[in-house]
Parts: sequence; structure tokens; C-alpha cells
Amino acid sequence: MTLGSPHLHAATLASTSDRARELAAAGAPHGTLVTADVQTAGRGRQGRRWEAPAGSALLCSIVLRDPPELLPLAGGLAVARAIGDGARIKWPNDVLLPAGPGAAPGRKVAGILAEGRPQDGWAVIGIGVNVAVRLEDLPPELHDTAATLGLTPADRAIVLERILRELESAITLDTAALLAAYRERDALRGRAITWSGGTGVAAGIDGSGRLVLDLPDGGHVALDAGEVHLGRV
Amino acid sequence: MPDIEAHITGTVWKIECQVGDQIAEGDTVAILESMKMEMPVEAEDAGTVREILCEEGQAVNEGDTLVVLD
Repeated sequence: MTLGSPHLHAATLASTSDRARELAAAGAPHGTLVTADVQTAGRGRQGRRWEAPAGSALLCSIVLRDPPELLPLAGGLAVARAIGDGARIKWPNDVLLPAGPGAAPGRKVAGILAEGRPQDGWAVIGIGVNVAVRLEDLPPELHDTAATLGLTPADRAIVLERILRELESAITLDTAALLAAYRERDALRGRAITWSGGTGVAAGIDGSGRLVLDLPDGGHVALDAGEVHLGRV
Repeated sequence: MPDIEAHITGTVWKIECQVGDQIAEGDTVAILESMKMEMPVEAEDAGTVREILCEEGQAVNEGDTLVVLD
């Protein structure tokens, strides 16, 4: 195991990724791990807040030197694999679980934020997983969209070990192998999608890791930035 | 005159300074996004923001000037 050492754990941090970025800028080695029981300024992608009751979520950030170009997708794959066979990925890297047996995977159990300094050859991947979160403890607006593994706070260590192992494997995959494994867990394919440019139907992930949408007029578009939503506006 | 350039090809998703702001070395002036990775663009020199040459949502190429400092 090269990921996870050295390991800095704090009871409370503003953000594990902010701390990991400071450490990376100061020369921390590949694999440096930062964890916290509580984040006071946790961030998701595009500046969104990430919140979880104290001690109930796995909150970790890992410094990676010479990261793969598709690190955000590799991170999604690694976390989905660590969570289990039922976990699917909403492009680029939200990890979803079904609401119940037989239901489509639609509830978010884990979020990932990849931040890079390509000019300095490092990136930080921040991962939050609802390991022991009780959905009734989350704000009401999340009750229908969040999922939890339903484990105990002590199980965060087990989930963390699995994620580190899977991430270590995923970042060594070549692009074709990464995308093939990712596509098997694509939660969006065939589903109606809304994004800033309109609506479409997800048609899979292209060879560059972009999300391809079939448009109502018969055309196609490949997205490599921005945000997509499942379902109608 | 220190210009702050994009270090990657990507999309500007957030501009974190305004014309007239005092910027210290290391301050984040913008965040680029490429293949869903967020890349903070930091000032390499201190200065005052004279001009912002990009907009949020705009595609930029490596080497494009994003912000001009005095």
C-alpha cells in the first residue's frame, strides 16, 4: 500500500482537501492522506458545500503525484468498487446507490472533488462517503436524494482501506481499461438528462471520458465540463 | 506587468477576483475546470487587478491571459 502514508487525522478541519493541498504544496509525498471526523467548510464540486453529522461520514483527501489525466473518473470508479457491486457512477464521479431493491441507482452515497496543480505535477482527490450517516439526521431536502451505507462510525476505517486499495489500482489503469470498467457502472446511460444547454439522453462515455448525449434533434454533444442532472428540469 | 495565464486548456468555472482587488502572491484568482478536475489559478506575483480577460463558462487555452495585474 503506497496510498495512505503518511496519514494526518484531525478531529476537526475546515476541509481535508484544503489541508492536503497545503501539504502537497509544501512537498508532501504521493499517497499522503488527510482525514477528519468533522469538516467545518467541506466542499464539493463547483463550490458546493458537503455536510455530514460529526463522525458519521468518511472524509478523506489524498495527495497524488503525477496523477492520471482522468483522475476524476478513476476516483469515481475506485469509490464505486469499494462500496460494492450495486454502486453506480453518475458522470463524472458521484457514486449512487439504489433507493431500494430493484430501483434504479439514484441516491448519492459518495462525492468526490479532484483538484489539480498540473504545472507542479500533483493533484488532491477529496472523497466523502456516507458510511454511518442516518438519513433522518440530514437536512430534509436531502432525504430523497442521499443514501448511506448504514454502517457504524468505526466501519469508516474499513471503507477507507478499501478505497485506498481500489484507488491505487484505478490510477494505474490505462485509459481504455479505466473507461471500460467505468462504463460498466455508468448510472446515466439511457436516462434523460438536463444540462445548461438543454436536454438529452445519456449515450455513454466517449474515449476521452466525456459524457455523450443524444439530443432531441438527432444530434449529439460530448460534455467535458459543467454539470448534468438526471431527469426533467 | 505580471499577467496571470491559464496553465491548462479548460473551462473557466469561477473567477475569484474583481478589477481593483489587491492580490497577494499565491492568491487564487480563478478556477479552471478540465475533465471535471478543478484547477485553481494562483497569482505568481502580487499586484492590483487591472483587467479580467475571461468570463465564467468560457473555454480557454493553455497560455491564454486570464487576468492582468498592475
